[in-house]
Amino acid sequence: MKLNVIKTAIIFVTFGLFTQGACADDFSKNNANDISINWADSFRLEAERKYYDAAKAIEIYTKSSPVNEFAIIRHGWLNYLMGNHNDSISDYQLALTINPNSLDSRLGLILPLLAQARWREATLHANKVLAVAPWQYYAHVRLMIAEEAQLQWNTLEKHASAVAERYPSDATVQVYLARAFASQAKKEAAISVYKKVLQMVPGHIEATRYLATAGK
Amino acid sequence: MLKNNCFDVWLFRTLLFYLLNAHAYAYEKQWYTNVSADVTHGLYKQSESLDTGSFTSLAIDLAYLERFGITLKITDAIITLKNNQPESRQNKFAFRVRKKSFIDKIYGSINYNLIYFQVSGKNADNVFAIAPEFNYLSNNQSILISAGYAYSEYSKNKISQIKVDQFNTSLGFSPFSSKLWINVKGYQTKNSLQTSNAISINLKWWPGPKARTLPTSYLIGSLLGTRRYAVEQDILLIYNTEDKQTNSYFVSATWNMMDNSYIVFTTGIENYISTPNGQRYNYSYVNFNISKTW
Repeated sequence: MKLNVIKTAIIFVTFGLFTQGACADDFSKNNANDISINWADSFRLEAERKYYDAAKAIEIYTKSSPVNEFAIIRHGWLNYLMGNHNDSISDYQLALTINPNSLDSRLGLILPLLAQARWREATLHANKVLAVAPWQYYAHVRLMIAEEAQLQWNTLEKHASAVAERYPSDATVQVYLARAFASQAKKEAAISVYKKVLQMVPGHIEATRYLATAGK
Repeated sequence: MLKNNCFDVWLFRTLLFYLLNAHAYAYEKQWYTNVSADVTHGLYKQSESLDTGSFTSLAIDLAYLERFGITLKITDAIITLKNNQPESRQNKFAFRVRKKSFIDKIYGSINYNLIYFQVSGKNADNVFAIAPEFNYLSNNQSILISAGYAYSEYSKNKISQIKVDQFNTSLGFSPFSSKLWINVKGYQTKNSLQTSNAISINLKWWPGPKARTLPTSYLIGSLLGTRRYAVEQDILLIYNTEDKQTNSYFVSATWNMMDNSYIVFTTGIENYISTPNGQRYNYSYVNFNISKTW
Protein backbone atom coordinates (compact mmCIF):
# COMPACT_ATOMS: atom_id res chain seq x y z
CA MET A 1 0.00 0.00 0.00
CA LYS A 2 2.78 2.29 1.02
CA LEU A 3 4.72 1.30 -2.10
CA ASN A 4 1.73 2.10 -4.32
CA VAL A 5 1.42 5.50 -2.79
CA ILE A 6 5.12 6.18 -3.38
CA LYS A 7 4.85 4.88 -6.99
CA THR A 8 1.85 7.07 -7.64
CA ALA A 9 3.62 10.05 -6.15
CA ILE A 10 6.73 9.41 -8.29
CA ILE A 11 4.61 9.09 -11.46
CA PHE A 12 2.64 12.18 -10.60
CA VAL A 13 5.73 14.25 -9.85
CA THR A 14 7.58 12.96 -12.93
CA PHE A 15 4.55 13.63 -15.15
CA GLY A 16 4.20 17.00 -13.54
CA LEU A 17 7.82 17.85 -14.18
CA PHE A 18 7.57 16.74 -17.82
CA THR A 19 4.38 18.57 -18.48
CA GLN A 20 5.69 21.66 -16.67
CA GLY A 21 8.87 21.53 -18.79
CA ALA A 22 6.81 21.11 -21.95
CA CYS A 23 4.56 24.03 -21.00
CA ALA A 24 7.51 26.25 -20.13
CA ASP A 25 9.13 25.34 -23.40
CA ASP A 26 5.93 26.09 -25.36
CA PHE A 27 5.46 29.31 -23.46
CA SER A 28 8.96 30.53 -24.12
CA LYS A 29 8.57 29.65 -27.81
CA ASN A 30 5.27 31.50 -28.02
CA ASN A 31 6.65 34.44 -26.08
CA ALA A 32 9.65 34.69 -28.38
CA ASN A 33 7.32 34.52 -31.38
CA ASP A 34 5.05 37.12 -29.87
CA ILE A 35 8.00 39.37 -29.17
CA SER A 36 9.35 39.21 -32.69
CA ILE A 37 5.82 39.59 -34.12
CA ASN A 38 5.17 42.65 -31.97
CA TRP A 39 8.44 44.32 -32.84
CA ALA A 40 8.26 43.39 -36.52
CA ASP A 41 4.72 44.76 -36.60
CA SER A 42 5.84 47.94 -34.92
CA PHE A 43 8.63 48.51 -37.44
CA ARG A 44 6.36 47.64 -40.38
CA LEU A 45 3.63 49.99 -39.13
CA GLU A 46 6.17 52.77 -38.63
CA ALA A 47 7.33 52.29 -42.23
CA GLU A 48 3.66 52.60 -43.26
CA ARG A 49 3.46 55.81 -41.19
CA LYS A 50 0.93 54.23 -38.86
CA TYR A 51 2.73 55.59 -35.84
CA TYR A 52 -0.14 55.14 -33.39
CA ASP A 53 -0.46 51.43 -34.23
CA ALA A 54 3.32 51.05 -34.22
CA ALA A 55 3.41 52.46 -30.69
CA LYS A 56 0.43 50.34 -29.61
CA ALA A 57 2.20 47.16 -30.79
CA ILE A 58 5.04 47.62 -28.31
CA GLU A 59 3.13 49.36 -25.54
CA ILE A 60 3.11 46.25 -23.32
CA TYR A 61 6.90 46.34 -23.18
CA THR A 62 6.97 49.94 -22.02
CA LYS A 63 5.17 48.87 -18.84
CA SER A 64 6.88 45.51 -18.38
CA SER A 65 8.97 44.49 -15.43
CA PRO A 66 11.97 44.53 -15.52
CA VAL A 67 11.85 47.77 -17.48
CA ASN A 68 12.51 47.61 -21.20
CA GLU A 69 14.67 50.64 -21.94
CA PHE A 70 14.57 50.13 -25.69
CA ALA A 71 10.75 49.97 -25.72
CA ILE A 72 10.54 53.27 -23.84
CA ILE A 73 13.02 54.98 -26.17
CA ARG A 74 11.17 53.66 -29.21
CA HIS A 75 7.83 54.75 -27.73
CA GLY A 76 9.33 58.24 -27.29
CA TRP A 77 10.42 58.26 -30.93
CA LEU A 78 6.97 57.18 -32.16
CA ASN A 79 5.29 59.78 -29.96
CA TYR A 80 7.59 62.37 -31.51
CA LEU A 81 6.60 61.23 -35.00
CA MET A 82 2.92 61.52 -34.01
CA GLY A 83 3.45 65.08 -32.80
CA ASN A 84 2.79 64.06 -29.17
CA HIS A 85 5.78 66.06 -28.06
CA ASN A 86 4.95 66.20 -24.36
CA ASP A 87 4.48 62.41 -24.25
CA SER A 88 7.68 61.97 -26.22
CA ILE A 89 9.54 64.15 -23.71
CA SER A 90 8.09 62.10 -20.83
CA ASP A 91 9.19 58.85 -22.49
CA TYR A 92 12.72 60.07 -23.09
CA GLN A 93 12.94 61.47 -19.57
CA LEU A 94 11.77 58.13 -18.19
CA ALA A 95 14.44 56.40 -20.27
CA LEU A 96 17.01 58.82 -18.83
CA THR A 97 15.98 58.01 -15.28
CA ILE A 98 16.48 54.33 -16.06
CA ASN A 99 19.85 54.99 -17.68
CA PRO A 100 21.21 58.48 -17.07
CA ASN A 101 24.24 57.75 -19.27
CA SER A 102 22.12 57.07 -22.36
CA LEU A 103 23.16 59.34 -25.18
CA ASP A 104 20.39 57.80 -27.32
CA SER A 105 17.71 59.02 -24.95
CA ARG A 106 19.21 62.48 -24.59
CA LEU A 107 19.58 62.87 -28.37
CA GLY A 108 15.99 61.70 -28.73
CA LEU A 109 14.80 64.16 -26.10
CA ILE A 110 16.23 67.07 -28.11
CA LEU A 111 13.85 66.36 -31.02
CA PRO A 112 10.50 67.12 -29.33
CA LEU A 113 12.12 70.06 -27.54
CA LEU A 114 13.11 71.52 -30.90
CA ALA A 115 9.63 70.82 -32.26
CA GLN A 116 8.15 72.85 -29.38
CA ALA A 117 10.63 75.69 -30.02
CA ARG A 118 12.26 75.11 -26.63
CA TRP A 119 15.65 76.19 -27.94
CA ARG A 120 17.32 76.71 -24.58
CA GLU A 121 16.26 73.35 -23.25
CA ALA A 122 17.39 71.66 -26.48
CA THR A 123 20.72 73.48 -26.15
CA LEU A 124 21.08 72.23 -22.59
CA HIS A 125 20.66 68.58 -23.60
CA ALA A 126 22.79 68.85 -26.76
CA ASN A 127 25.59 70.32 -24.64
CA LYS A 128 25.20 67.50 -22.11
CA VAL A 129 25.76 64.99 -24.91
CA LEU A 130 28.73 66.95 -26.23
CA ALA A 131 30.24 67.09 -22.75
CA VAL A 132 30.80 63.31 -22.90
CA ALA A 133 30.93 62.80 -26.70
CA PRO A 134 32.54 66.00 -28.04
CA TRP A 135 32.07 65.32 -31.77
CA GLN A 136 28.72 63.53 -31.70
CA TYR A 137 27.28 64.48 -35.06
CA TYR A 138 23.56 64.60 -34.22
CA ALA A 139 24.16 66.61 -31.06
CA HIS A 140 26.04 69.18 -33.12
CA VAL A 141 23.40 69.37 -35.85
CA ARG A 142 20.57 69.69 -33.31
CA LEU A 143 22.51 72.34 -31.42
CA MET A 144 23.00 74.22 -34.70
CA ILE A 145 19.23 74.17 -35.26
CA ALA A 146 18.74 75.80 -31.85
CA GLU A 147 21.45 78.39 -32.53
CA GLU A 148 19.92 79.28 -35.88
CA ALA A 149 16.46 79.67 -34.34
CA GLN A 150 17.86 82.00 -31.69
CA LEU A 151 19.62 84.06 -34.41
CA GLN A 152 22.99 83.36 -32.80
CA TRP A 153 24.83 83.79 -36.08
CA ASN A 154 28.26 84.42 -34.66
CA THR A 155 28.05 81.35 -32.43
CA LEU A 156 26.66 79.31 -35.32
CA GLU A 157 29.49 80.42 -37.61
CA LYS A 158 32.18 79.31 -35.14
CA HIS A 159 30.31 76.15 -34.28
CA ALA A 160 29.53 75.07 -37.87
CA SER A 161 33.08 75.92 -38.92
CA ALA A 162 34.53 73.61 -36.24
CA VAL A 163 32.09 70.80 -37.08
CA ALA A 164 32.71 71.21 -40.83
CA GLU A 165 36.40 70.63 -40.16
CA ARG A 166 35.53 67.27 -38.59
CA TYR A 167 32.85 66.35 -41.16
CA PRO A 168 34.19 67.97 -44.35
CA SER A 169 31.99 65.95 -46.70
CA ASP A 170 28.74 66.65 -44.86
CA ALA A 171 26.43 69.02 -46.74
CA THR A 172 24.12 69.75 -43.77
CA VAL A 173 26.92 71.26 -41.70
CA GLN A 174 28.10 73.28 -44.71
CA VAL A 175 24.59 74.66 -45.18
CA TYR A 176 24.51 75.87 -41.56
CA LEU A 177 27.92 77.47 -42.03
CA ALA A 178 26.72 79.18 -45.22
CA ARG A 179 23.57 80.44 -43.48
CA ALA A 180 25.67 81.87 -40.64
CA PHE A 181 27.85 83.74 -43.14
CA ALA A 182 24.88 84.91 -45.20
CA SER A 183 22.98 86.17 -42.15
CA GLN A 184 25.96 88.27 -41.08
CA ALA A 185 26.23 89.75 -44.60
CA LYS A 186 29.54 87.91 -45.15
CA LYS A 187 28.61 87.42 -48.77
CA GLU A 188 31.88 86.12 -50.24
CA ALA A 189 32.28 83.52 -47.49
CA ALA A 190 28.66 82.43 -47.95
CA ILE A 191 29.13 82.10 -51.73
CA SER A 192 32.23 79.99 -51.24
CA VAL A 193 30.48 77.60 -48.85
CA TYR A 194 27.28 77.37 -50.93
CA LYS A 195 29.48 76.42 -53.92
CA LYS A 196 30.87 73.55 -51.83
CA VAL A 197 27.29 72.52 -51.00
CA LEU A 198 26.48 72.34 -54.71
CA GLN A 199 29.40 69.96 -55.22
CA MET A 200 28.08 67.70 -52.46
CA VAL A 201 24.42 67.95 -53.41
CA PRO A 202 24.12 69.04 -57.06
CA GLY A 203 20.99 71.11 -57.53
CA HIS A 204 20.68 71.94 -53.82
CA ILE A 205 17.77 74.40 -53.82
CA GLU A 206 18.93 76.79 -51.11
CA ALA A 207 22.50 76.98 -52.47
CA THR A 208 21.27 77.47 -56.04
CA ARG A 209 18.90 80.26 -54.96
CA TYR A 210 21.53 82.07 -52.92
CA LEU A 211 24.12 81.93 -55.70
CA ALA A 212 21.55 83.09 -58.26
CA THR A 213 20.59 86.06 -56.03
CA ALA A 214 24.24 86.86 -55.44
CA GLY A 215 24.84 86.82 -59.18
CA LYS A 216 27.27 83.90 -59.07
CA MET B 1 37.42 98.15 8.07
CA LEU B 2 38.69 94.63 8.62
CA LYS B 3 35.17 93.35 8.08
CA ASN B 4 34.92 95.26 4.81
CA ASN B 5 38.26 93.87 3.65
CA CYS B 6 37.14 90.36 4.48
CA PHE B 7 33.95 90.94 2.56
CA ASP B 8 35.89 92.32 -0.44
CA VAL B 9 38.19 89.31 -0.44
CA TRP B 10 35.22 86.97 -0.16
CA LEU B 11 33.40 88.78 -3.00
CA PHE B 12 36.50 88.79 -5.17
CA ARG B 13 37.11 85.09 -4.55
CA THR B 14 33.49 84.25 -5.23
CA LEU B 15 33.45 86.19 -8.49
CA LEU B 16 36.80 84.71 -9.55
CA PHE B 17 35.58 81.22 -8.73
CA TYR B 18 32.40 81.85 -10.69
CA LEU B 19 34.27 83.26 -13.71
CA LEU B 20 36.82 80.44 -13.71
CA ASN B 21 34.14 77.83 -13.43
CA ALA B 22 31.49 79.46 -15.60
CA HIS B 23 32.79 77.82 -18.77
CA ALA B 24 33.10 74.46 -17.04
CA TYR B 25 29.41 74.45 -16.19
CA ALA B 26 28.26 76.27 -19.32
CA TYR B 27 26.86 73.04 -20.74
CA GLU B 28 24.45 72.87 -17.82
CA LYS B 29 23.18 76.42 -18.31
CA GLN B 30 19.56 76.58 -17.27
CA TRP B 31 19.10 80.18 -16.10
CA TYR B 32 19.22 83.09 -18.51
CA THR B 33 19.52 86.75 -17.56
CA ASN B 34 18.49 89.60 -19.80
CA VAL B 35 19.40 93.16 -18.92
CA SER B 36 17.82 96.00 -20.84
CA ALA B 37 18.56 99.72 -20.42
CA ASP B 38 16.30 102.29 -21.98
CA VAL B 39 16.43 106.08 -22.32
CA THR B 40 13.67 108.25 -23.78
CA HIS B 41 13.72 111.99 -24.16
CA GLY B 42 11.01 114.09 -25.72
CA LEU B 43 9.40 117.48 -26.02
CA TYR B 44 5.78 118.40 -25.44
CA LYS B 45 4.59 120.71 -28.18
CA GLN B 46 1.49 122.92 -28.04
CA SER B 47 0.97 122.03 -24.42
CA GLU B 48 0.18 124.84 -22.03
CA SER B 49 1.81 123.20 -19.05
CA LEU B 50 4.10 120.31 -20.10
CA ASP B 51 7.59 121.03 -21.38
CA THR B 52 9.85 117.94 -21.57
CA GLY B 53 9.59 114.29 -20.63
CA SER B 54 12.59 112.06 -19.86
CA PHE B 55 12.31 108.42 -18.95
CA THR B 56 15.20 106.19 -17.92
CA SER B 57 14.58 102.56 -17.19
CA LEU B 58 16.39 99.39 -16.36
CA ALA B 59 14.82 95.96 -16.74
CA ILE B 60 16.22 92.67 -15.53
CA ASP B 61 14.69 89.42 -16.63
CA LEU B 62 15.59 86.09 -15.12
CA ALA B 63 14.34 83.03 -17.00
CA TYR B 64 14.55 79.33 -16.29
CA LEU B 65 14.98 77.84 -19.76
CA GLU B 66 11.70 78.50 -21.62
CA ARG B 67 9.56 77.41 -18.69
CA PHE B 68 9.16 80.39 -16.39
CA GLY B 69 10.68 83.74 -15.55
CA ILE B 70 10.46 86.96 -13.60
CA THR B 71 11.07 90.51 -14.76
CA LEU B 72 11.71 93.63 -12.77
CA LYS B 73 11.61 97.05 -14.42
CA ILE B 74 12.33 100.33 -12.73
CA THR B 75 11.73 103.63 -14.50
CA ASP B 76 12.66 107.10 -13.41
CA ALA B 77 10.43 109.67 -15.13
CA ILE B 78 11.05 113.40 -15.04
CA ILE B 79 8.45 115.71 -16.56
CA THR B 80 9.36 119.37 -16.56
CA LEU B 81 6.65 121.98 -16.67
CA LYS B 82 6.39 125.38 -18.25
CA ASN B 83 6.07 128.72 -16.44
CA ASN B 84 8.63 127.75 -13.79
CA GLN B 85 6.32 125.20 -12.28
CA PRO B 86 8.04 122.46 -10.22
CA GLU B 87 8.90 119.29 -12.16
CA SER B 88 7.04 116.07 -11.67
CA ARG B 89 9.28 113.14 -10.75
CA GLN B 90 7.89 109.63 -10.80
CA ASN B 91 9.25 106.24 -9.90
CA LYS B 92 7.61 103.50 -11.91
CA PHE B 93 7.99 99.93 -10.83
CA ALA B 94 6.84 96.85 -12.72
CA PHE B 95 7.16 93.22 -11.69
CA ARG B 96 6.12 90.32 -13.89
CA VAL B 97 5.97 86.59 -13.30
CA ARG B 98 5.38 84.30 -16.23
CA LYS B 99 4.97 80.64 -16.91
CA LYS B 100 4.83 78.77 -20.17
CA SER B 101 2.91 75.58 -20.92
CA PHE B 102 3.46 73.57 -24.05
CA ILE B 103 0.30 72.03 -25.43
CA ASP B 104 0.53 69.64 -28.37
CA LYS B 105 -3.21 69.66 -29.15
CA ILE B 106 -3.09 73.34 -30.06
CA TYR B 107 0.35 73.05 -31.69
CA GLY B 108 1.88 75.74 -29.53
CA SER B 109 2.47 77.18 -26.12
CA ILE B 110 0.46 79.28 -23.71
CA ASN B 111 2.33 81.94 -21.80
CA TYR B 112 0.69 83.15 -18.58
CA ASN B 113 1.78 86.55 -17.29
CA LEU B 114 0.87 88.40 -14.15
CA ILE B 115 2.15 91.96 -13.87
CA TYR B 116 2.12 94.36 -10.98
CA PHE B 117 2.71 98.09 -11.55
CA GLN B 118 3.28 100.80 -9.03
CA VAL B 119 3.91 104.49 -9.61
CA SER B 120 4.74 107.02 -6.95
CA GLY B 121 6.57 110.30 -6.79
CA LYS B 122 6.67 114.01 -6.34
CA ASN B 123 3.73 115.93 -7.85
CA ALA B 124 2.32 112.75 -9.32
CA ASP B 125 -0.60 110.42 -8.82
CA ASN B 126 -0.05 107.29 -6.82
CA VAL B 127 -0.93 104.41 -9.08
CA PHE B 128 -1.10 100.71 -8.75
CA ALA B 129 -2.22 98.24 -11.37
CA ILE B 130 -2.49 94.52 -11.68
CA ALA B 131 -2.59 92.98 -15.13
CA PRO B 132 -3.02 89.30 -15.92
CA GLU B 133 -2.42 88.34 -19.53
CA PHE B 134 -2.05 85.16 -21.49
CA ASN B 135 -0.94 84.53 -25.00
CA TYR B 136 -0.76 81.68 -27.43
CA LEU B 137 2.25 81.22 -29.70
CA SER B 138 2.28 78.52 -32.35
CA ASN B 139 5.29 76.19 -32.40
CA ASN B 140 6.43 77.55 -35.76
CA GLN B 141 6.10 81.05 -34.26
CA SER B 142 3.85 82.31 -37.03
CA ILE B 143 0.75 83.12 -34.93
CA LEU B 144 0.45 84.96 -31.63
CA ILE B 145 -2.88 85.55 -29.93
CA SER B 146 -3.15 87.34 -26.63
CA ALA B 147 -5.83 88.46 -24.22
CA GLY B 148 -5.31 90.61 -21.20
CA TYR B 149 -6.98 92.59 -18.49
CA ALA B 150 -5.66 95.38 -16.30
CA TYR B 151 -7.12 96.90 -13.20
CA SER B 152 -5.62 100.26 -12.21
CA GLU B 153 -6.25 102.59 -9.32
CA TYR B 154 -5.20 106.24 -9.38
CA SER B 155 -5.25 108.34 -6.25
CA LYS B 156 -4.06 111.90 -5.75
CA ASN B 157 -5.12 111.79 -2.15
CA LYS B 158 -7.32 109.58 -0.06
CA ILE B 159 -10.47 111.35 -1.27
CA SER B 160 -10.26 111.26 -5.07
CA GLN B 161 -9.70 107.90 -6.61
CA ILE B 162 -10.13 106.63 -10.15
CA LYS B 163 -10.57 102.97 -10.94
CA VAL B 164 -9.82 101.83 -14.48
CA ASP B 165 -10.53 98.57 -16.24
CA GLN B 166 -8.72 97.70 -19.43
CA PHE B 167 -9.44 94.83 -21.74
CA ASN B 168 -7.06 94.13 -24.57
CA THR B 169 -6.61 91.47 -27.17
CA SER B 170 -4.14 91.04 -29.98
CA LEU B 171 -3.34 88.99 -33.01
CA GLY B 172 0.13 88.70 -34.47
CA PHE B 173 0.97 86.78 -37.58
CA SER B 174 3.50 86.26 -40.33
CA PRO B 175 1.48 86.78 -43.54
CA PHE B 176 3.82 85.87 -46.36
CA SER B 177 7.14 84.78 -45.02
CA SER B 178 9.22 84.87 -41.88
CA LYS B 179 10.44 88.30 -42.99
CA LEU B 180 7.25 90.08 -42.00
CA TRP B 181 5.29 90.26 -38.78
CA ILE B 182 2.00 92.12 -38.31
CA ASN B 183 0.49 92.69 -34.90
CA VAL B 184 -2.96 94.15 -34.35
CA LYS B 185 -4.04 94.97 -30.80
CA GLY B 186 -7.33 96.31 -29.55
CA TYR B 187 -7.78 98.20 -26.27
CA GLN B 188 -10.81 99.22 -24.28
CA THR B 189 -10.20 101.31 -21.20
CA LYS B 190 -13.07 102.42 -19.04
CA ASN B 191 -13.69 104.12 -15.75
CA SER B 192 -16.85 105.37 -14.12
CA LEU B 193 -16.92 108.45 -16.36
CA GLN B 194 -15.96 107.27 -19.80
CA THR B 195 -14.93 104.44 -22.09
CA SER B 196 -12.29 104.74 -24.79
CA ASN B 197 -11.30 102.38 -27.57
CA ALA B 198 -8.10 102.16 -29.55
CA ILE B 199 -6.36 99.86 -31.94
CA SER B 200 -2.64 99.58 -32.53
CA ILE B 201 -1.14 98.18 -35.71
CA ASN B 202 2.54 97.28 -35.80
CA LEU B 203 4.48 95.98 -38.75
CA LYS B 204 7.93 94.46 -38.32
CA TRP B 205 10.17 93.72 -41.27
CA TRP B 206 13.43 91.81 -41.47
CA PRO B 207 14.93 92.87 -44.80
CA GLY B 208 17.61 90.18 -44.78
CA PRO B 209 21.33 90.75 -44.43
CA LYS B 210 22.53 93.45 -46.83
CA ALA B 211 25.40 94.96 -44.89
CA ARG B 212 26.64 94.47 -41.35
CA THR B 213 26.09 98.12 -40.45
CA LEU B 214 22.43 98.16 -41.51
CA PRO B 215 19.62 97.34 -39.07
CA THR B 216 18.47 93.74 -38.88
CA SER B 217 14.83 94.76 -38.52
CA TYR B 218 12.49 97.74 -38.75
CA LEU B 219 9.26 98.36 -36.92
CA ILE B 220 6.51 100.79 -37.85
CA GLY B 221 3.66 101.28 -35.43
CA SER B 222 0.53 103.30 -35.05
CA LEU B 223 -2.23 103.76 -32.52
CA LEU B 224 -5.63 104.76 -33.79
CA GLY B 225 -8.55 105.86 -31.65
CA THR B 226 -8.24 107.07 -28.07
CA ARG B 227 -7.13 105.51 -24.84
CA ARG B 228 -6.62 106.76 -21.34
CA TYR B 229 -4.74 105.22 -18.41
CA ALA B 230 -3.58 102.41 -20.68
CA VAL B 231 -1.38 99.52 -19.64
CA GLU B 232 1.03 97.80 -22.04
CA GLN B 233 1.67 94.36 -20.60
CA ASP B 234 4.29 93.23 -23.11
CA ILE B 235 6.65 96.19 -22.59
CA LEU B 236 5.75 96.71 -18.92
CA LEU B 237 4.58 100.27 -19.43
CA ILE B 238 1.79 102.20 -17.80
CA TYR B 239 0.53 105.43 -19.37
CA ASN B 240 -0.38 107.10 -16.13
CA THR B 241 -1.62 110.38 -17.53
CA GLU B 242 -5.14 111.66 -17.21
CA ASP B 243 -4.96 113.08 -20.73
CA LYS B 244 -6.37 111.06 -23.59
CA GLN B 245 -3.85 109.53 -25.94
CA THR B 246 -5.00 109.62 -29.52
CA ASN B 247 -3.53 108.81 -32.93
CA SER B 248 0.18 108.12 -32.41
CA TYR B 249 3.00 106.83 -34.61
CA PHE B 250 6.53 105.52 -34.26
CA VAL B 251 9.33 103.91 -36.25
CA SER B 252 12.22 101.91 -34.89
CA ALA B 253 15.30 100.14 -36.14
CA THR B 254 17.04 97.22 -34.44
CA TRP B 255 20.64 96.16 -34.76
CA ASN B 256 21.67 92.67 -33.72
CA MET B 257 25.12 93.67 -32.51
CA MET B 258 26.42 90.30 -31.37
CA ASP B 259 24.62 87.12 -30.45
CA ASN B 260 21.90 87.98 -27.95
CA SER B 261 22.74 91.71 -27.95
CA TYR B 262 20.46 94.29 -29.48
CA ILE B 263 20.39 98.04 -29.93
CA VAL B 264 17.11 99.72 -30.81
CA PHE B 265 16.52 103.32 -31.89
CA THR B 266 12.95 104.56 -31.89
CA THR B 267 11.39 107.88 -32.71
CA GLY B 268 7.76 108.75 -32.59
CA ILE B 269 5.01 111.17 -31.87
CA GLU B 270 2.17 110.69 -29.40
CA ASN B 271 -0.86 112.97 -29.65
CA TYR B 272 -2.89 113.86 -26.59
CA ILE B 273 -6.06 115.67 -25.71
CA SER B 274 -5.80 117.51 -22.44
CA THR B 275 -8.51 116.42 -20.00
CA PRO B 276 -9.28 119.76 -18.31
CA ASN B 277 -9.66 121.91 -21.44
CA GLY B 278 -9.65 119.64 -24.50
CA GLN B 279 -6.49 121.26 -25.82
CA ARG B 280 -4.49 119.11 -28.23
CA TYR B 281 -0.75 118.68 -27.79
CA ASN B 282 1.85 116.13 -28.74
CA TYR B 283 4.95 114.47 -27.36
CA SER B 284 7.79 113.91 -29.86
CA TYR B 285 10.48 111.61 -28.59
CA VAL B 286 13.56 109.61 -29.34
CA ASN B 287 14.34 106.38 -27.56
CA PHE B 288 17.49 104.32 -27.25
CA ASN B 289 17.47 100.80 -25.91
CA ILE B 290 20.30 98.34 -25.42
CA SER B 291 19.81 94.77 -24.23
CA LYS B 292 21.86 91.66 -23.73
CA THR B 293 21.08 88.14 -22.68
CA TRP B 294 23.52 85.95 -20.80
